[in-house]
Amino acid sequence: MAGAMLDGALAAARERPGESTRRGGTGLARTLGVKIGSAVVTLAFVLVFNFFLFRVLPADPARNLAHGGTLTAAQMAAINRTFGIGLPLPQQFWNYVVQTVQGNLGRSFQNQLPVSQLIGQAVWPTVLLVGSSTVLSTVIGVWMGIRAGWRRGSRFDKISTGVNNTLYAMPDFWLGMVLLIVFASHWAIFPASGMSSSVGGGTGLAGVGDVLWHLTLPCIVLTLVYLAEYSLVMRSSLIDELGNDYLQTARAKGLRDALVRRQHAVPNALLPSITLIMLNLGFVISGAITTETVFSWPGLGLLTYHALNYPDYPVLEGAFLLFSAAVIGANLIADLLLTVLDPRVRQA
Amino acid sequence: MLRSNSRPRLRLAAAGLALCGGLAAATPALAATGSPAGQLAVSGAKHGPSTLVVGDNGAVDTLNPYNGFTSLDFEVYGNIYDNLMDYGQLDYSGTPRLATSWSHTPDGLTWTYHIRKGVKWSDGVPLTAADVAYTFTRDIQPGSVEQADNSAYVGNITSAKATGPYTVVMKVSKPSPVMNRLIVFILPQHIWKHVSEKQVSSFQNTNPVGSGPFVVTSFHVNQSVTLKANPHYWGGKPGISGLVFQKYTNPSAEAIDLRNGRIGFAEDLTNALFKSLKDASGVTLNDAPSGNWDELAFNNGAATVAGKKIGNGNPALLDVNVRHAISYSLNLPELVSKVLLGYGSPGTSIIPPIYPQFHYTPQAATAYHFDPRKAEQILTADGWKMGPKGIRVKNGKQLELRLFLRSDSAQEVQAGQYIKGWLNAIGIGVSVTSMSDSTLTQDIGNGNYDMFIWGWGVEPNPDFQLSVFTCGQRSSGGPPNYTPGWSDSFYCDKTYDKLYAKQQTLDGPARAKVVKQMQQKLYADDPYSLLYYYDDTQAYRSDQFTGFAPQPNNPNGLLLFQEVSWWSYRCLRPVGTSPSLTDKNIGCAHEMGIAAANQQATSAGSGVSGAMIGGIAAAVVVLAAAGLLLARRRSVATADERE
Amino acid sequence: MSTQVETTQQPPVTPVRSGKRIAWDRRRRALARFWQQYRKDRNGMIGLAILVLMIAVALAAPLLASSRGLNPIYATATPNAGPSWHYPLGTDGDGRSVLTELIWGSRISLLIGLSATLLSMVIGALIGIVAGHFGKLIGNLLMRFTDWFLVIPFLPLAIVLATTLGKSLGVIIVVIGITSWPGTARIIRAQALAVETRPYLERARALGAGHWHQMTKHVLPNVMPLLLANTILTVAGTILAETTLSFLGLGDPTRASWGQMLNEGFSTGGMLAGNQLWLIAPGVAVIAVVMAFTMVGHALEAILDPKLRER
Repeated sequence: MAGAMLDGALAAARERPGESTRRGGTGLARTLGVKIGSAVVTLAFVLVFNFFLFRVLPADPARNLAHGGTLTAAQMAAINRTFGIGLPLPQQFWNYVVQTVQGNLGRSFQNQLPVSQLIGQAVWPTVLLVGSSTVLSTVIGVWMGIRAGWRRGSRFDKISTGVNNTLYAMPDFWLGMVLLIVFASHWAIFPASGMSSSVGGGTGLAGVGDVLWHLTLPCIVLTLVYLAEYSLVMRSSLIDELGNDYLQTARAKGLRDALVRRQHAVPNALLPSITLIMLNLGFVISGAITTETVFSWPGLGLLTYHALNYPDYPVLEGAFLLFSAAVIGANLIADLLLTVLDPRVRQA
Repeated sequence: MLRSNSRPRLRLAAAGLALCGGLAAATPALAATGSPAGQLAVSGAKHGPSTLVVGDNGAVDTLNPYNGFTSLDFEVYGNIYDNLMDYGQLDYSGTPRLATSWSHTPDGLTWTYHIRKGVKWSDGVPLTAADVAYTFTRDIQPGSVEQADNSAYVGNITSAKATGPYTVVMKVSKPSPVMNRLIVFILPQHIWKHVSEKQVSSFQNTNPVGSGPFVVTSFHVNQSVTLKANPHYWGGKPGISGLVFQKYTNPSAEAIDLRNGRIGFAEDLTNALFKSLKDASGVTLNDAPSGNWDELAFNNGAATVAGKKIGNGNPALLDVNVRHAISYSLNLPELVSKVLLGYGSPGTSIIPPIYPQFHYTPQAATAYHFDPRKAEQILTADGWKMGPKGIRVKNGKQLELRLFLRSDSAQEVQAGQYIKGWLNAIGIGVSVTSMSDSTLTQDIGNGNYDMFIWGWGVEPNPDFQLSVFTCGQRSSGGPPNYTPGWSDSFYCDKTYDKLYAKQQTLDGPARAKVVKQMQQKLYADDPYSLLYYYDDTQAYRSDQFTGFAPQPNNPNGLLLFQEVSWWSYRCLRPVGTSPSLTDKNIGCAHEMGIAAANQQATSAGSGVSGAMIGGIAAAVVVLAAAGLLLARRRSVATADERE
Repeated sequence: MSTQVETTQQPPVTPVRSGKRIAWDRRRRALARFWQQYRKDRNGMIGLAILVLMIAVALAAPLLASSRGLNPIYATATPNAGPSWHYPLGTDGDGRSVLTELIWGSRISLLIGLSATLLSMVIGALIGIVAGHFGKLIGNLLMRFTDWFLVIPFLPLAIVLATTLGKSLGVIIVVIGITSWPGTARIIRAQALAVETRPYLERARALGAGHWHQMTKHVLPNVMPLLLANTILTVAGTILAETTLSFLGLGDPTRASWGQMLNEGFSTGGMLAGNQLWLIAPGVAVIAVVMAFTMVGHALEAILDPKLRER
């Protein structure tokens, strides 16, 4: 779902940073405070939204556990009490808020394990996958974008724009299936599923190597899909920047092209790109859902996939909360970074 | 998959004969127990890996045997825990496991079981009759999860007491042949007495203590469970040192890994992938008929056990003519060839053909077959005239039915498209909706459906499957959400219920006769239109592993995931190793030939004396077994133990 | 000066036109100018060509391939077979022609994409224009609300909604529609703010125009071009979204959309087991259509968005 998000985010990124701060002037601390407070409010909204989303939906955990009448009515009532169903709505909401703050996200319908435990186990594989692919896609994408933007209309620009437009339009799970067939089946170079080998994965250094070997294909997929975005944005923001007067001045003063680029254009053009990358980070985590499914990578995405057909509402609810919190967190960091890095904002 | 979680009943046939056959054959191996660990490498062959990785598209939900419900869950439990007895590998006849022998009083109400001596739990504590008595006493607590899980076996038990360190006496309320086939996992008292009734549903049992051939070493929920061979297993050391059950979300990945040798056994591959592995090197395919089938179920008049009508089912389906017409409009052979790709057979009656003694075969003249003309005739004669939109109308009402599909099952969703097409062709409007299992269960329980597709897995004991159609299995409770029973057809017939009660007291051919009568009635009344019996498509690396014990014991018997049996796990071994059998490792009868041959080949010198010892031992054992049989026969006055 | 001197010479007569006619003429000329500019954008032209082809295929589907080919009970070919004379793209798991499914699937994918986008556009434009017009309290509140929605990740929300509301075309359309509007709202609001400061709007207010009149007669027409460009870009996203949701099994399994073809191939293993084109073809189709919408959208944006000129 890169498209619409990209444009919304681009709009946000392109807005001159000065616009977003109001009643300027009383210092960095106040600005930061406002932003953090704003993020907390957003999180609260998400909590409320999450609660209503799942409570007004048909959910009967006792029935799921019953698997066709093997529980007595009394037992089903007891189970419903555990899941808090049947209590008045305000009471349920209060319980929900208190429990969530304490870290109790309920129990999975499928296996009665605490949702926080399931999510805790699934977070690190996703962080590994998303982290590695973000680093790669950022580095490669930004480099491509700079090169293409600086030499607009060159052959490199044309080819890379074409490639990026194609990658940008590609469903990531489709790319995953294609790579799987080519590199795991046709040429059996990489494993077809999982994060480590079922047998003989090894420990220590060998174990790490085993995980990296499994990481390769899913990481390539996510890297390719997201580097297109970053490259395109970097390119357009650099072009934006190149139109500015101060660069003409620099060139007129006789500064070398490369110097102009390195010391002036790129750093300023980088800001919207960094903003976009951080904004995107939140979305990449949920974008990993389909890739993890194709490669059976045991992260949050796979957890969500297994929960959605049951449907295992407590797990979905917990995962949803985490995904939203990730986006809020990434946004906050982006905002803070921007505030700290961009002198124009600080002085506003 | 609607999976029954009741255990099958054992059929105790000539157990003595089978037992002595095994012992006699095992003697030559006994004679050669000088060789190191019995693992003789056949010259020239390579050692395969010694851990078997089994791929499946499901994962183990929990290691608590009271909370599990899928076939994979039970596959694991049967490796960690033992039952008192097993379904025999050769022909489902009863085989002692933790119970070495058992008998009952002439009135059939008191049963005595002799528990095997020298068995230890995996934590070293000795297993005694106290554990057995504790397990059964726990399992018969009324209203408990344990009782609900095991009711098919323990339903009639009123008490279970240990009368000695190795003797258990159980009392039943009425004669119950099922006491010969108690597939109930025996749990350690010293662990489970600390788990109260309230805690059972949430007890994870992450380090299970059991007496079975394997022990759990690690468990990643939704991914895999790893087990290692139990070196102190009373039945002898398993041929493989490790066992892993690995979940595959992407079915193609499972096939890829089997081809690459990264897994040794692929269970339940999709039909298309199974077919594509035909020419894979080192892979052997097993198209195994199983007890599984899918049906098109109708809403035959949803009502509660109290008789109160519920739900919004289309009343047209209450008319048996409409159901018959639908049955004649389905092209079942085409479903088998297109959906199953040939791996199965058209469906008829609810007890599948792999249980030939119980399966009912309808007469060719009256059997439903693909005949759209006939279907249309039936509908027209019934008053359903073809309307303007190509949908039949009667008394101003259009014949439009809802069809619910389970989004979880690609196979059933595929079949659903065909059924819609065939029903449309004879003038029945069909609206298809796909949904999750839990939503469908709720709709069924409330009677808010017309038709759906689901499936069952039938065990060797037909009791549970027959009970699904009794009046007592319909929903109960009150609105807005009724408590569902096992009945998803709401079929209710007094004659059928009477026959059901009758077959519970019978055994052998008399029972089979009643069971077939019940199926005949169901076939005629058509509450379900059985679509097909589908095979279990299993594939494994025959260049890595051998020694599987198929059940039933024929060329395409199930290799793993057998009907509530776990024979292969104790017997299978890497290619290039020999069976390591002791007289306690009963059940790997199919290996005897190989073991004997190996002994001949490698210990030619001791051949003669070995054969002589074997012969004498065999004669002694046969005599002893004959004596046992005679003794047992005398104790049976009423119930016919032969089946 | 003699007032009798009546000039009988008439000035050159230009035909009298109504105000409406004048406005239409002006629009026609603007359109012609616009087309001249658009033609220069090579990517935009390629995208447009692909789009026209896709829409033509979708509309002409019954002429190109019989819909009987979608009904599995009439499919007689071997399942999962490779390309042949009768089946140029091979067959799927039921023996149906992949090409037939591809052609008819274009209808579903485009239908969902356009409907969901329409829904999203209406909501987004409404909120954006109102926020831009009313400013201060209401505007800030609406923008806060939009920001919150922007934060909620699309796929998990769509999954949750689709899981609970059921699996049908309607649900997918609603789900995608109500998760895509924030981006539109932000852009429209920014443009609306710019329009609000223009003099003719001040004039309208001075003349007593009400809020509704201002927004529909003045603001809306002026944000329309940007809205159009944004809409085209959003369609690209909604088609990708539908493909993803269908792949995850949340779509309607009885309709052969491109995403549904990928889902079937994935869950039956068919694409590995016999006919790789069953995987390749729908994927390529999605890529082509999404690229086309994106290229057209960017071309439109380049012309219509004053900030993006000279790119």
